[in-house]
Amino acid sequence: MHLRAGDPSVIEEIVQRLVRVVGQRNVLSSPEDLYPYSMDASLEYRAMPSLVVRPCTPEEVVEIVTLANKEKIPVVARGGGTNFVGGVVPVRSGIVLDLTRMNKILEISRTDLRCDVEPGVIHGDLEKELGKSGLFWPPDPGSSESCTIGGVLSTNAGGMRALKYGTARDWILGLQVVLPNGEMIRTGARTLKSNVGYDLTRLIVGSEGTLGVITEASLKVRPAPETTSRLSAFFNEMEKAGAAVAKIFESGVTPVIVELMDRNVIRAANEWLHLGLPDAEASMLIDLDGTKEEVEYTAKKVEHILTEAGATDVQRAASKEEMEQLYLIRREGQIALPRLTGKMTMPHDFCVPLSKLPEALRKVQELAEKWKMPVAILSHAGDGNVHPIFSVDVTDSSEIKRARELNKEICMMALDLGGTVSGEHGIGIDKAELMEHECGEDSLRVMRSIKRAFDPNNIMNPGKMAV
Amino acid sequence: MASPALRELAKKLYYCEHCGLCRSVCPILRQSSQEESVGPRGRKTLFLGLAEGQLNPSPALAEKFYLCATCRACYFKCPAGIDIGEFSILARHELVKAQAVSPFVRRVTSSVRGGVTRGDIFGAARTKAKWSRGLDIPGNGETLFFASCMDSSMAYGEALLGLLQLPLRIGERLVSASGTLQSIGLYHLFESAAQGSLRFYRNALVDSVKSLQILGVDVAYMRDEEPCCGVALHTYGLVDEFSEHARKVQKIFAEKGVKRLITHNPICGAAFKTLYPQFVKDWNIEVKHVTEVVAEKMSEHDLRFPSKKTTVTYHDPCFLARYMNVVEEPRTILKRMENIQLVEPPHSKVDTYCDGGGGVELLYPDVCQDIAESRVKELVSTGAEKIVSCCPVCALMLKEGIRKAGVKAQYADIMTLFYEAAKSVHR
Repeated sequence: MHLRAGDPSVIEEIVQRLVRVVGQRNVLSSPEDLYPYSMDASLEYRAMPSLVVRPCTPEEVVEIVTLANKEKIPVVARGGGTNFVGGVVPVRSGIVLDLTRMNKILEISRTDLRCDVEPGVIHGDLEKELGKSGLFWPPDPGSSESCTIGGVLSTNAGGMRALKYGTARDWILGLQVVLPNGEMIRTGARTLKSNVGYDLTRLIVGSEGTLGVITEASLKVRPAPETTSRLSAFFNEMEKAGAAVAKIFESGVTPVIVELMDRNVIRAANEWLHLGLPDAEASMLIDLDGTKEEVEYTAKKVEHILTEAGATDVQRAASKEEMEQLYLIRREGQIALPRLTGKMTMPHDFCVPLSKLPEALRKVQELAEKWKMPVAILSHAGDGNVHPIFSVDVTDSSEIKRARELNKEICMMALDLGGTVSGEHGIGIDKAELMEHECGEDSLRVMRSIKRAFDPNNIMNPGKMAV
Repeated sequence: MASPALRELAKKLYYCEHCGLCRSVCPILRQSSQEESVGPRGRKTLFLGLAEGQLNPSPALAEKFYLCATCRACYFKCPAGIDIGEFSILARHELVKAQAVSPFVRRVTSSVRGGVTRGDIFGAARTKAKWSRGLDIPGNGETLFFASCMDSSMAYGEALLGLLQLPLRIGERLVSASGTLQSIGLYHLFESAAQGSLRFYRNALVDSVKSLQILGVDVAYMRDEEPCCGVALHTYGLVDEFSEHARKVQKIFAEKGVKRLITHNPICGAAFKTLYPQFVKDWNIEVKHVTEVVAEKMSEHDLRFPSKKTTVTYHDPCFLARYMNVVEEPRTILKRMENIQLVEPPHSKVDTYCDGGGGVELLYPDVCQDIAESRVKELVSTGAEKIVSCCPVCALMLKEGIRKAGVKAQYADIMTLFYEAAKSVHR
């Protein structure tokens, strides 16, 4: 059965069965309730779900998925809806499973360095709670205040700290997952090490909701560092900034974050935060963590490297407030871009080997000029991850077309440089075709057979990735 | 509904990156278990759907926009600078025009329309100046103390909120008919039955004026002739009528030679300070909140007053902090009152947290009361004995929150605290 909007009698019957599972209030079917679930942060992709169901327990998820599988209704699990590639847009209609009600932090164990959570917990809320116990979970996506842990895991999100600590896949111990046939399984273990069979945990993390619904996760956490120091620096040339990054790594220092922002992002941040930042070509943000002595030593070392590399204004945040302000430049500068451009921002994503970063940055600028598209640049420069931010007039279809072509060329350029088409945003709808380019037919065949083994009826987030 | 004008208005919504930062601060969303359509980002999407012709006008759609407290928390959080509250008002305007609102909203808007025309949104125009009896205050002058019907008649609001909790929607009917009840003389019954409540709200006005007089600030008060600012018309989506009403009010002030307004109610203050310049050509009246004037005088003359020893926490009203940009002045007053210890709540200044007021508490009393309760719990977590603020609607909601939360803390208006301290020195 293909449950689609506009099929009232079928929908009504399914609604009644779902209402018995989660209650009337948690089955949404009116146009005004459904419409906000028709998009995510990709914005250019939209599709109406037939229903939105808001479960509160893993058992409710089991019942919903069992019903959906029996009736062959697509199921799209959704958290904060901040995905940039259309990952939670219900392209084949069906049920959007809004997991934001499953938002309990179940256990924080300082001794076991483990935290058990439900998928709807907001990342920023978890960070605050862990902080109370002197712990932290390293993945830190920019959307921390609104994205959910389920979303972070499903997309294997990284964030700024990925440079030192890796992405979500590196900080997961085990999962509770409802499979497409409605069975509930546990993967991994609750120990810091486990070496038993295929690693289903890390297969499901990053699978973008195509293999099952995560209903609980055991996260690996670690003690918060004794201290963190935040440095900022400005450069008159983007290339000089790129060279400075290489020198920092050559010196043997491993910062927690090395973020690069171009003039457009700095100007937008100034417009929004009124910080009076210098109007430089590039700005860099560096975090160093460890013991006080370590941080003091490495901070001095990095300050020296930056100055030698031609930075115009190297500063160390003197207070917690100053640190937070610097962080906001990076986190919110790009969102403030429309204040300057009057257009919608479309953040994109690719990753190259560090040695190719300066070349990649230059080529993005050349391609932007070729396609006459305003492109700002943000980069997790320490791990070669670049986010070209397009400013697009979405009411102009030719401009949207140009943006798509430019994105494709940028990603192909990244592949030519030995990179990847997504460092952290994932594939969703947006990069399915590019995934085919990157993976090749043989890898894709394996992935597709894995998908078939998990989900023979193809109900879990169909139409996503290239599987 | 996909008119070119509406599409043009919606253009700014394309600035939104859908980052969801607004969701993290919306008081309504938190009370509604994060349901997408109830939060600011959902309202953005719904406005786009309306403007692009994807969604038809309907009372169910209107409800999503009437559920916005217009507290501007999302606007202050949004790096792209989108004020979803403003879009909620625009949507209400479109939906009221299309008659796509529920019968209850229709009755309330009709009641508001009548109230504003008569000079008091609660229909209590005949008694609204009663608070000023016995005060030596001229009727005309360049500087007006604008008392506002919300301050003088908020006790009626309190009663209406109580009525809404009655079963079988009796309350809804009574609220809708309140204007009529007032006009047939029911307010006499109410006056005798709710003396305590009336005195509480009216005292804030008396204490404001007496404080200004102690500080040597000459103010006039128009008494029964004081027009309603009309902000409720705007809030409920009657934007064209608000525009027309604002022009009338400007004319009245011009005829009286008014150059400066001092308000106690920040909702009316915000209307005069931020809305009137948008709707009225050549609006050039200076608008200040009473705490701005008092703090200025205290700082200018380095005044300090002894007060009873107590710990207070200050609740920033959204309309004062986020529309009138007044956050430091109330703190200046409290810090200059000796023996008062001011403790800040987790959400303060422009990061304040709505208490459920904002104009839609009569439409959604349950949601708004839950928000009030949650704000009160946060405020008393500071250990304060008193919750201090300076807005009649916040007073109403925080008193309601105190009752619901069952906490010991008391609500006090900042001007009452100030006057109590100042008069002992001034005598």
